Amino acid sequence: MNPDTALPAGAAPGKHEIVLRGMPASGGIAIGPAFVYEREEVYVTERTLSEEETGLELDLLRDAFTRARRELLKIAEYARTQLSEEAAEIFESQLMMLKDPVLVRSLETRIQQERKNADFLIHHEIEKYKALLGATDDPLFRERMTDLDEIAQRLLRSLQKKRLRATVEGRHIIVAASLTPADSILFSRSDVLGYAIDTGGITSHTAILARSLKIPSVVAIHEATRHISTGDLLILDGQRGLLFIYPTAERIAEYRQKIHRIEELEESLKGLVDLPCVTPDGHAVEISANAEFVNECDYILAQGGNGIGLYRTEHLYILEGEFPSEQEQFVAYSSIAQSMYPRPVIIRTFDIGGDKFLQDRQAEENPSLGWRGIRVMLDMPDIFKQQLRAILRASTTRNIKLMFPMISGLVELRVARKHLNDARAELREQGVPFDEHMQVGMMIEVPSSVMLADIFAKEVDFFSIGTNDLIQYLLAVDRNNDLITDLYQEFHPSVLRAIRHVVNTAHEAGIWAGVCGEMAGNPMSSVLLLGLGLDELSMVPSVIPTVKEIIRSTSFEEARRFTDTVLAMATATETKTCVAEYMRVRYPDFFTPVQNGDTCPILGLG
Amino acid sequence: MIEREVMIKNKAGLHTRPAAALVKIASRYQSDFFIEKDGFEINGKSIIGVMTLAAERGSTLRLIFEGPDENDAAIDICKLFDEGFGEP
Repeated sequence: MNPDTALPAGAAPGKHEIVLRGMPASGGIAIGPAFVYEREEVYVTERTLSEEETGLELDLLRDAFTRARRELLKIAEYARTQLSEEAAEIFESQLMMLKDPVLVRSLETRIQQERKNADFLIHHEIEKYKALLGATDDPLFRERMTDLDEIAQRLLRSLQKKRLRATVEGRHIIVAASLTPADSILFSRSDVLGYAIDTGGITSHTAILARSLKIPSVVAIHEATRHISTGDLLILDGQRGLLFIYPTAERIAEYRQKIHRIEELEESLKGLVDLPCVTPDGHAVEISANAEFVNECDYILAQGGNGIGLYRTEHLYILEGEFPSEQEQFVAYSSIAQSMYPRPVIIRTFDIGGDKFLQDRQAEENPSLGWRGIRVMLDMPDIFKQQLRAILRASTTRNIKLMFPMISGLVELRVARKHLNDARAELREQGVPFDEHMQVGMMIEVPSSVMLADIFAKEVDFFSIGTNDLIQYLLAVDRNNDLITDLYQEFHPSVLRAIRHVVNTAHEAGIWAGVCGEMAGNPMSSVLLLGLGLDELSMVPSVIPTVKEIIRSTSFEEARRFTDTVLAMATATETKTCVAEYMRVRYPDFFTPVQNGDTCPILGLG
Repeated sequence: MIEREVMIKNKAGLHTRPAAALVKIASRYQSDFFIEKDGFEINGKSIIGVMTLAAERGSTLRLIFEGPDENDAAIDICKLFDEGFGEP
């Protein structure tokens, strides 16, 4: 039988194909059976024990604690070796709770005195603590309730001798309403084909972990668990954010073809790793990667990345729910700088706020226009200075650069730089070494900073354009708002003009300019960004070879001419059509037409 | 028995990291160690107990030490509060 036409296990030829749309969170395509993961609700009933049972119940309780601690220790260890010290710490604080002498003792005493079953008492004790924590308004404390829930669940499962469910036999696409960080770490030890998650955003833990482990994922699908049962055949398109249930034979053939093309393309691009990113007429562009975790460095280097153009530090906060100490940050920054040495690493100071910060704090009416990025840090000078000290101390390897996010006016930049100078003075006084010549740059993502680019250019060493926010602010479009997603237009003439203005202004002032937003990682925009004169493009590591190959086969002259043509256009429809047409004709290997007349890159997030 | 009154100085309050540091040090001593806040008392060797205090910056706590090494325990633990747990 021809393997290309054979239907895979789980295929249901009689049923109608269902297509669900979510947000692409981690690129790649997966075809395989579903495994619907339900966070097992453990039910607890109250029981009175006989005298003999009481002794036995005490043994069961102690066993349950021992087993739960062992499980957590394993997870923490796995997180530490495979991900990062910060990821491990979430589990360590839970481990400490499992060793709490008061919790253990009061459970033992209550079993003896009240003669109730252990699971009932565990539930009762934990609920008591949760009620106490729930009485406070401080989000940092309220977040600990999740930890309490998790340890209660773990103890109960362990008591009822249920195996940890977060492992699967065979290769599956995991379908879930939501996944905790512990779930996704446990799943990553099995042979997981992909994740289809109903909730979450592309900055959720699961999405971050999936990208760093290169597992195709789609999040925010909303109704995957409602339609899918374990064993159903699925196609998960992590590039376009699509999920097909009961795919038709034609769909399966189409996607097998796609996978085949992806593999071929990846294979053909392998030879590029050590080649420089230079156009045939000698114009060089630095290609670097956006990263969160140290363990991504190997992959970035294997893809031919020339450095890290955006090292996001927020995950240090997000994973822990609190700000890491100076020493912890120093360790994190040093290890990423050493892993990439001598290639540059651009560390962005905490960009917390908007969707990421203190979720159950009094919600802001308009978070993306609110307290976020540099604004938060300037309001928390102690925490900011701690981070600046940690970055400076790590900079002795001399390959670290620093940048500030969300700068909207010169005063902000100057105050931020003053904190940096204070940190430098402190370190000098304490005799702690650091790189005196570390480059300091800023992100251009607020339209006001585009307008003031000439003024900023005199006071920084580089610009890095954050296209995601810049487009959002420039076009007044919230890209998470389903009603207006079609108005979020990367190729809108105003966006292209803004980028051109920033690059030209930077060059006139003798500084360099890069892009670290998603636009840099969209191969469709590669020729345009080349022609606009960007010095650096920083992107998800998986698309590096594609972008490099496009740049290596386009002369700077050609790109400039093409960019002039596009920039003369007046509407986003014209620019988009023109770019898509050009790219599809010029690079047929990399782009594929899709149903609605659009063109989609074969590799990377579409 | 020794009683001491202390104030939370660090910005983030008695959250996970300071709570863990406090419990670790308290566990080194044989003496019992209790913390009272707003008429509510918890065992200072219990991480969950310390966290449920939800002690924010500026709150005042009463520390109670009782046992053979209560003096040393009191000195060590008060120092931790004085230094704001080494946090801003």
